[in-house]
Amino acid sequence: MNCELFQKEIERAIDERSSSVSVSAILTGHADLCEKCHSAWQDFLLLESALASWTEPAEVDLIDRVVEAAASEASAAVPEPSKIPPSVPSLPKGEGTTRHWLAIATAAILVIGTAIVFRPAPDQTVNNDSPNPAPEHDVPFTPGLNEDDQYAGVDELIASTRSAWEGIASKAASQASGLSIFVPDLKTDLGLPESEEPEPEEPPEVEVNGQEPSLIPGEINRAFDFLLDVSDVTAT
Amino acid sequence: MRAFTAKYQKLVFSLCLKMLRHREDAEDVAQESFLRVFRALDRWDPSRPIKPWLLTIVANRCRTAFERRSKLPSQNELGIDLEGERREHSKHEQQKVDIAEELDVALGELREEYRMCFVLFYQQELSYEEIGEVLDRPQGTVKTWLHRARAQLAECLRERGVICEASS
Repeated sequence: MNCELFQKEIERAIDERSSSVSVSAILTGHADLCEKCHSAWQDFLLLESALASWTEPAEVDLIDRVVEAAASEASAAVPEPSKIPPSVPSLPKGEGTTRHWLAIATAAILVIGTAIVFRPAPDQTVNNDSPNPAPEHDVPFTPGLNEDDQYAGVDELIASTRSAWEGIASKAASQASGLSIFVPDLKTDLGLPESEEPEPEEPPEVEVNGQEPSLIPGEINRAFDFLLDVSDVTAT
Repeated sequence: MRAFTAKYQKLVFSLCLKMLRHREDAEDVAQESFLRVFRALDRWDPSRPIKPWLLTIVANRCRTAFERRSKLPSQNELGIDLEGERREHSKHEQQKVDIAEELDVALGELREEYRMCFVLFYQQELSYEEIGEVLDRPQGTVKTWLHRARAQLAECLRERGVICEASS
């Protein structure tokens, strides 16, 4: 037997709660020869002898104590009827009936009073059979402006919004084209022939009121062309 | 209720006593455990053995008692004079002492989970699987804890001069 087998046998004896008597014949032979295993064997025997008297169950009588505690717990959980606090304070006999009628009378007075106060006035009644019904307005009424003036105001608002949007867009496009200087010119760097396509024309200046919205598509097209050229170069 | 308590009181009290090492505390915790068991009895699955379920509740109560005890300023006030107990034993080092008591003292020095594992295995004779269920730990962990507990106990007993009768 070697040390590894000895350790396995010890572990098996522990797991199966085997006594030293049943395993001693196998293990003592090796334990006598190996110092390390001898120590493990001594520990095994020491604990076995200690456990022999240690595992005896302790004597106790808890029955009365437990039953008493359970009974007192149960009585504490269910309060006596006399100790239950009433949800509504009880009233003296006869007083309850009087209060009941008083409450009904107060409610009736309130209902009648409300009906009188909110009764519709005779001049506010709507005659549905009127031959001249009230004109319906598609456009909300704006004092001080006629219909044309109102629409002119809306057109002006749309135009100013559009010009503002185009202004922002043109600024963004110019910034984007300015940043293109940071992009390396791969054609030059790689020694590729220059493209024979003519340089795209400069787009016209964008007017403030957005009469020339072609600037953005032009810039975008240029950017796409550039990207396509680059991707072709890198692919090849 | 009486019959149930009569049947399991030794089991419950023995675990409490081994874990807490104080008779009055153990009686209190055992009583508390029984009350918990009665309250939770409708949650017990009758298709499974009652012993591990019962001991799970007892183990939890013991753990709570440990926590409660650890919050107290001094253990001496509870009558658990561990140092005194050790001194008492050291006086009799040269004498032949009760080895079971020595084991109890050594157990008191173990980590709580090792002690619980050892007590459940040797005193309650639960399997690794059942101990795993009680402590909510995998079997491998339980096995490791038990082997460590054994090693530490043996070392502690040796340090105390306890010698195995068989080898002496």
